[in-house]
Amino acid sequence: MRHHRALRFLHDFSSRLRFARITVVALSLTPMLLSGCAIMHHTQVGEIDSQAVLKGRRFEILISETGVNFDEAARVGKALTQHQQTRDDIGGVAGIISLFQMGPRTGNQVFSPMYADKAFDLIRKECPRGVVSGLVSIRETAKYPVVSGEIVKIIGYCRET
Amino acid sequence: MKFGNSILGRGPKALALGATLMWLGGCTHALHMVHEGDLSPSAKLGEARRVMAEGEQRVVMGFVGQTDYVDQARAKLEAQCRGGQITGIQSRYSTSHGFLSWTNRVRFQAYCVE
Repeated sequence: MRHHRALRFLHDFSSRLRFARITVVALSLTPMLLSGCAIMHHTQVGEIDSQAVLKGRRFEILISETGVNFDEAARVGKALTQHQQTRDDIGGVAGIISLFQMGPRTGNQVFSPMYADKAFDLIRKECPRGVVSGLVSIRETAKYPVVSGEIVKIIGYCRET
Repeated sequence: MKFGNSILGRGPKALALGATLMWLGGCTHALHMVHEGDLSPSAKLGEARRVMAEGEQRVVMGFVGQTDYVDQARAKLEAQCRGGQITGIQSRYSTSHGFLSWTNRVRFQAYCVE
C-alpha cells in the first residue's frame, strides 16, 4: 500500500513538474512574441525656428506599413512541418521568390512605398495656417516574428500666426 | 519531361500556390528614407501649388546604367516652379525589387509659392 502511494506521489509530482516546465517556457516566450525590437535606420533634422519650437505646439505623425520577411516565413514554415518533401518544397519556393526580390533593403519588404507620401498632407493638416519648424524625420522598423511595422515618424512644431 | 518529387511534379495546386507566392513576393519594395523639409514662414500655402518630380535608376545584376537620376529629378522639380519659391520639400528614396534586377527611385514633393 505504501509503495503504491509513493508511486502515485511520484507520478503526480512528475506531471506537475512537466506542467510547470511548459508554463515557464510559455511565459518566457510570450514577451518575445508580443514585444518587438525597434531598429532605427535613418534620422534627419530640419531647420529650427526657436520661436516655433519654444512657443509652438508639438505634433507627431506616425505612418506605418506592414513589412514581411519571406526568408523568416520560409524558416518558420520549415520548422512547423516534419515532412521532408514539404520542407524541400518550401525551400524551393523561397529560393525562387528570393530571385524576384533582388535589391537593397531597409527593414522588411513592403508592398507599396507610397504610404510615406501621406506625411506631406498630414503636416499641413496639423498646421494649416501656422509656421512649421524643427521637423525631425525618422525611419524605423518595429520588428516582430515574420512581420514588422515599417514606420515613418515626423515630429515638428507648429506656431499659429 | 519528369519533375519527380519537386514542386513542379506535385500537381496544379502546388504550382498555383508557388505562382501565387511568387506573385506576392515579386512586387515588393523597400523604403529607405523619407525626409520632410521645413515650410517657409513667409510662404502663403493657401496660394501655393503642389509640384512633384521623380527619378529612377535601373540596376541589372548589380550593373548601374545611370547615376544622375537624383540631379535630374531635382531639375524637374525646379523647372515646375520658375520664378517661385519651392518649400516644404518631401524627399522619398525607395527601391522596387525585381527579377535579378531592381529600380532605385527618388520622389520629391513640394509646394511652389509664386
